[in-house]
Amino acid sequence: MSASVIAPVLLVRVAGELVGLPVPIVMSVLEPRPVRRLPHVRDEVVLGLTNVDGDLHVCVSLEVVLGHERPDVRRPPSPRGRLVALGRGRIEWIVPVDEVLGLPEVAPDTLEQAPATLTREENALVLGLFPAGDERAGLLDADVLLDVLRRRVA
Amino acid sequence: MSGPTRANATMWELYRGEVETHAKALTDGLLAFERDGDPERLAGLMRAAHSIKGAARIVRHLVVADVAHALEDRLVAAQHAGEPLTPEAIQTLIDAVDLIGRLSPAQEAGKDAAADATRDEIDRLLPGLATPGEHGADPSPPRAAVARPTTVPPVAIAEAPRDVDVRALRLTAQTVTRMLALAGQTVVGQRWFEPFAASLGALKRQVSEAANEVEHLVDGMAAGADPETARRMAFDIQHRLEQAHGAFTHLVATLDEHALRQDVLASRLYREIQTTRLRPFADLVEPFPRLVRDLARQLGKQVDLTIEGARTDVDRDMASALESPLIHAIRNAVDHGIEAPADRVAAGKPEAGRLVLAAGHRAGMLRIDVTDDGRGIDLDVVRRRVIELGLADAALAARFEEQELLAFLFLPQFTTAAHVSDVSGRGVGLDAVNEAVKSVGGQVRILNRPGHGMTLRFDVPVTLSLQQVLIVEVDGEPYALPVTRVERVEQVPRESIHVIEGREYVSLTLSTLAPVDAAVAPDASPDHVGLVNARQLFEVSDTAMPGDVVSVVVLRERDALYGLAVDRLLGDRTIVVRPLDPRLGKVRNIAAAGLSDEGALLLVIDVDDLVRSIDEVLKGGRLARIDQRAAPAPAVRRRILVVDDSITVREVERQSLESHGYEVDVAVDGIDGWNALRGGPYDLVVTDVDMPRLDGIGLVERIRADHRLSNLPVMIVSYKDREEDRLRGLAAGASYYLPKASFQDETFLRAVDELIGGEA
Repeated sequence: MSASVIAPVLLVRVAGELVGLPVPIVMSVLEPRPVRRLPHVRDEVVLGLTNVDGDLHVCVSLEVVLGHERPDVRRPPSPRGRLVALGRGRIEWIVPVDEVLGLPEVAPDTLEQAPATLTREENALVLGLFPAGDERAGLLDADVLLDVLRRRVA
Repeated sequence: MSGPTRANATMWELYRGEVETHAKALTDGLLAFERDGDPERLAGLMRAAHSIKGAARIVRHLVVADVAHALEDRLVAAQHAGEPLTPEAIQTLIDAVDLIGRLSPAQEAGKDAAADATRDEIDRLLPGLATPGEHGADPSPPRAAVARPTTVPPVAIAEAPRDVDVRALRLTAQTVTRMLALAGQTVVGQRWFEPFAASLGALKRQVSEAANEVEHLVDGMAAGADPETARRMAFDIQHRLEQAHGAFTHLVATLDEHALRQDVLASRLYREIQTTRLRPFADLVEPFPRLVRDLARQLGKQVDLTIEGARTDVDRDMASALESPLIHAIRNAVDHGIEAPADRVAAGKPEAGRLVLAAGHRAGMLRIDVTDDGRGIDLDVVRRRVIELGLADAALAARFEEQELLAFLFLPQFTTAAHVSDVSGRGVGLDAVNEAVKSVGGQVRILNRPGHGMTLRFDVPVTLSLQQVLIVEVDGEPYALPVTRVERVEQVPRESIHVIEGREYVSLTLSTLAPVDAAVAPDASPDHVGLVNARQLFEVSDTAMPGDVVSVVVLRERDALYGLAVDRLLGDRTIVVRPLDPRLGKVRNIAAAGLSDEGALLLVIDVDDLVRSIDEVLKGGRLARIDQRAAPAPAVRRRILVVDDSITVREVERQSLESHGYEVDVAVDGIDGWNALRGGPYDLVVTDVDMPRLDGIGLVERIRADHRLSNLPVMIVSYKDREEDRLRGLAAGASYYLPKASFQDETFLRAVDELIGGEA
């Protein structure tokens, strides 16, 4: 992402954190729908499968990628919960989020440094922090996010 | 993607299709001409060659245009100039058609590499195609230059499979018109909703007006209105409500009718599209007469090929999945099955062998039988090989029954052929056939008639995408079982589940099973079917099944019956099955996914995998009881993962390890093994080297690269016992390398003891 370009991001809440997802990799935002668990798959990051317009997609946990607990997919989703379809040019992953807050624009050169407490993987994932209302949101790097998911699932 | 590239790609797709059609016509025509020499056939052959030439020029595929041009010239000369087609000339023409066939798919738009590789062959062929007349006095040198053995490709089928996503389907204009008409009607049907919604709106207004009036009436009566006025108002309201009711009934009826119509339309459209994916068996077997003829020639045999059930519908994807296993079966039959003419005569059979390819639909499955009248399989030879390969000792081998012995033929590298032949190479290669057929949800069986021939029987689903399934619920989620694998379903009262040696069983009477089994066991004594809790098997929940009656799905694998206890039976459906996302790897016990009529996601159970898992649970004593009163805590034992694609080797290793107190899990290849490793702690991995998907070396490398597993001991057990193989295994990180020859004796167990120090 070039530093001088103002980029729109999808602002979502996941496990209490505010996170900015780069719009170029957001394919769509979907109403909540059941996520089907897969037996034996103990991969933390894989939540299961979900049906989007008759196509079956792999549902993964952004919580786990960000270092939180794996959510229970069988818990009924909150009314504000949404599924975000991520990918480049086609849906690669479906990610449940607790809430979608809007599409603010972020100038990457105004980003604040992310705290050094993040792990190495998270550090590469979070480009920096930007103000969102009274809070701060972490802007995720599109390529690193897709890459982390590919590696964590494979 | 830019416009021109896509346009070119489409053009090439069309061109390929056209060349395929005409090349088929040419091959068939030339073979027929070889048989009957009917000059009437020449005109058709010329037309086909001419069409290829024209198409090749349009896409500027000049190599093919040249060859087709030469072909056409030679045919013209034969028809008009009376230049006879000798058997050699026909062979050259067939070679040229082959060459065109190979050049056409090999060529991607713009790439010319394949052309260079075959340039020599073209240079050899073109003079051979020239008519003798053109060479005047000296026709022999160019013709002699056509060296036949080098131009008959032994495996014309080794072409890379075409990209499924970009492959063009050929549809008739009529089919497209029908589909378009149906699609048009569904669009019209959609528009019907607008006036319907308007009528509903009007009805809603009517009802709320009536409600308002009721309110007025109530208010008026409270205020002491004139009873006569109130009565008239009530009468008026009643009238309005009756009208509304009538309108409502009418609307419901039209909606029902419309829903029915839409349903019929949608199903017809679906079926119409589905049939575009079907092609007759005749298409699938089209290259086989040629294949059989070439093989027979090469081997000095005579084989008559018969195709039965040519009009049987076969799904396109299934057809391409079956192509290579069928070719394998044919090569085996011609090479190993059918005897040389002299031997056949000596055995009192006609000189020419008979090979029959028969297709038909049986019980919702597609069955293809490849039958020859050759020598069949000599069980004593198989038995000797089993002993030679160290797969069993003589005493055990002598006890094996026919089906058990035949199962060895499906092991990799197992061969009974007396000689290594060019045609089928080493090994009968039935392992590859078995693998390919299993991967599309089918089964292969051998029906052996020693001395009189054999049948290789393929039973596969009719299409890859539609499956008849039984839907069951486990822990609140639906799973689908292919009905072809379900023996029957039972509602078993909890009190009739009994416990033998800590495991749960239910007794079912065999006489109600399929008649063929009843014939085997006519005494109708009850059969004990081991019960496994699906919740535990799928590791979704540890809780007991609720209720007084347990729903049991009975599955059969060879002679054994297994009972899967599920929460509920939800009934039979036909579902569209799709493969799981390949990024997930092989998910244990799950073959695919699908959608129910209601759009709910179903997981389709991999019955082979499931039966293995049940077996493991039953043998390993890890059974969660359906009736959870007192489950004894199992003793902690050392856990070993055995990874081998041969079921025999797996079983022998498992049994010998288990008899020494180890707990053993099995995996069928490297990927399966890797998935198992990610699932639970093991103390040792015992793996084969040659396996599909991920081989043993790759598995060891993955284990060593994973920080959680890098210290896990790994033993390689392999048929490869050369020093360099051993070094390769150790270099990858194996802790021990054992030749398979010695895995049955004490060496194996001693090595295991050394690595993980006996029982815990």
